[in-house]
Amino acid sequence: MKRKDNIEHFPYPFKDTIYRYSNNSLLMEVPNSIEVTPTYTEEILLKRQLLTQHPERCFQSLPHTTEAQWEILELIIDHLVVYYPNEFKLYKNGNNWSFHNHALKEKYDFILGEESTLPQQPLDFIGRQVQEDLILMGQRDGNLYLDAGQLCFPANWSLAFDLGMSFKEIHHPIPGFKEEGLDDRILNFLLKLEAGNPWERKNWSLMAGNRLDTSLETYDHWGKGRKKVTSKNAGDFVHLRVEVQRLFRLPRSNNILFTIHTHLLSLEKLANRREWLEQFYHILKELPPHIVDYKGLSLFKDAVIDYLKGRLESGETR
Amino acid sequence: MRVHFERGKRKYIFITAKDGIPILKPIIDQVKEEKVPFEMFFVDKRTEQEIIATGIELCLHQQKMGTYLYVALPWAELRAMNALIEKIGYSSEEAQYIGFGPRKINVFCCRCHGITETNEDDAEIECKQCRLGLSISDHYSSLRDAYLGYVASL
Repeated sequence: MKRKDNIEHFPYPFKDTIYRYSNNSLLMEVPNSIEVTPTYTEEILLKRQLLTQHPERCFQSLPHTTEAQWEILELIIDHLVVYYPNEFKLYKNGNNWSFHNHALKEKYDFILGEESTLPQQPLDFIGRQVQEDLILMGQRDGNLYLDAGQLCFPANWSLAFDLGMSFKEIHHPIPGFKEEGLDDRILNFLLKLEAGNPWERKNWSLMAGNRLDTSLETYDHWGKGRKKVTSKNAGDFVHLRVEVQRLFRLPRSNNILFTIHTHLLSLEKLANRREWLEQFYHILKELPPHIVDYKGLSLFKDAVIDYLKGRLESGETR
Repeated sequence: MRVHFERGKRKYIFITAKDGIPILKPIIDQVKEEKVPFEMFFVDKRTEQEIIATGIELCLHQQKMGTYLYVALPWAELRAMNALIEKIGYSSEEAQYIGFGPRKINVFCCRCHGITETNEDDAEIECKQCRLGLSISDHYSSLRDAYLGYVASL
């Protein structure tokens, strides 16, 4: 499916001209766990197609998570109807709920807390209504565990493999994450997350192509694109991929909901903004080898830098 | 694998096989020196029924709090014994597990989620389910009891 990238809705992630791993979370001004963008319908259809064709890849849950899944469903429905009242409506009669998705012309009647009245598990159901990937991190014994998730657009990781892992186990493959003490700092930050005070951070990578579904399970297909990048095709072919990650404490279960909204923007469009072009060029030029390697840029970073340099020298920006 | 003496316990139980004795000997000597009660079980190449017949399961059930276990077995047998001990109710703080001999590990295929058993020292294998070449990482899942295998070459 050819995606339409949209510069107006693109969450450009950089503030400085150097990039390092950090806890770059910011307290959210508007406590909304989801965002509906102009690509809503096409992304929801893609999510549902992936969930149908690859259910084990895209949804996993441990048996003890049902109550927390309902809590997530309630939170997200609340955000949908509050922040997008024209597209989403909820009618309640006690525990009999009727959720209307006008954007997709769908209606779901169910009994709150009774899983058999939903077509899927609560987290899987509500994930099919929003563009975000949804991860449930269970908090117990002073640690966080990946207890459930609906993940259709992962940045090269596997939900099926990471299920049940602790926070540090999940991040074990990131070079320097432990050595620089980031694992403890971020874990402590997350453990102290308060209900009603959600946080947001942005993460980025470069994608050779415009797939949202960059799962580890399909890396042998889309990873080959990294070998095809040249300074000539980089503008159209390579995309800056940004994840807007939001963190919500779930007050009933004391777990954490982690929502991930993935955005793509072609380098050609990015380079149309002179300040973005200059900044991103400097970031890539300066990026340390261990980050280049972990972000999977080794094969095409030089071609991208050549492309950005060419755009800088040509002065063809707005 | 290093084994260390956990001092101050009420009683020690050693579960081992013939080749595990040299590993546990320094600890056994220390326990004898400190005159703390201990018991020893040999489970050399036994079937599950034979292991039960040694009385080990019953013995472990009957211990009081403060009993500490040392388990030194070939890797292949260590996993089953670990599962039995946890099932009885011992925590990881109440036992040390020492594996020896050739070790097999499981590799989780990043593409098809198939599990392939291989030697610990292998760096690359072929997934037995989808035939993808896998590079074995050190990323381990205790839920899957497997290491993650990445695409070996694009």
